[in-house]
Amino acid sequence: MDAVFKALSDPTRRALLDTLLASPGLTLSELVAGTDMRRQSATKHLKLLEGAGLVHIEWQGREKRHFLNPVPIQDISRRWVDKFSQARSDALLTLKSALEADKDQTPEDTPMATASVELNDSLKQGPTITSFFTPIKD
Amino acid sequence: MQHDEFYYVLLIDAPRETVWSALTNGEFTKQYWHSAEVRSDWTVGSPVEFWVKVGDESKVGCEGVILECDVPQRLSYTWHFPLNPACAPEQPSRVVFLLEDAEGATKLTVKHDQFESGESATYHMVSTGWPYVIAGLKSLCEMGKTRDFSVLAPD
Repeated sequence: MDAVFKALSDPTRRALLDTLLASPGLTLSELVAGTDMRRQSATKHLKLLEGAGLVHIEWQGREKRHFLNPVPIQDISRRWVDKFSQARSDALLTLKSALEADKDQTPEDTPMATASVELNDSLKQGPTITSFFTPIKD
Repeated sequence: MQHDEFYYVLLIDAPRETVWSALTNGEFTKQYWHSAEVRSDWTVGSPVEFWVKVGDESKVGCEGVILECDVPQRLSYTWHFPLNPACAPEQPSRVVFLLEDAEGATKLTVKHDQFESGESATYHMVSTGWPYVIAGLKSLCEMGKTRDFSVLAPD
């Protein structure tokens, strides 16, 4: 993740990413055309971006083509932005356990029992599957 | 220059067989792929369909034909959205999944290309949608469960 932040900390590299977002698959020559960037400098910046996983390289014949890979940036977003929704669902799970513990001592038709059932439904996040980890045979 | 292809590359801390299952088993795709259940016999030339619930009805939201199926390293199929009015008239595009072993983990490369030239509605849909699908796929493979991040994708 340090590599991603380092790569993004430079305006020239961000500009390269912007160009690749708008025009996927450019070669080095195409990337520097119309800019005042030297090939050597662009190569250095692209190497850093590639090392951080932000640029994906495809060889097509003898042409080296560059693509933006947005996944590392999304990982950053998930790490911090999704933290908030994670904390909320943890709180709900705690509440759910508390309600379920209560339900054991409460008649089914009380408001508390109803609340517990509704929460159970709202907390369904797709079942955890153990068979998933059994490799398929083909 | 025209948008003609794009890539998503990520590491998933799970063996290739697990990632392959997550991509090809409808019970798993339902959990992270817009609730869509994938159906195919996974042989070259066969149809592949993503079944989605539209109201009370099940419909094919995405359809294609298998182009390559090399378990567990390479899968590709054509891609067409029949239900979306903007995308339906467009020619099928193509998606390729490349699964490389990375010391027991999987380096997954998703390539989507062969969009209709000009302003492709399909291009717009999939380019904003893939990051969320992939986030769910990674989570499912690594933890055995996921939230369906694809519901967060912009329309």
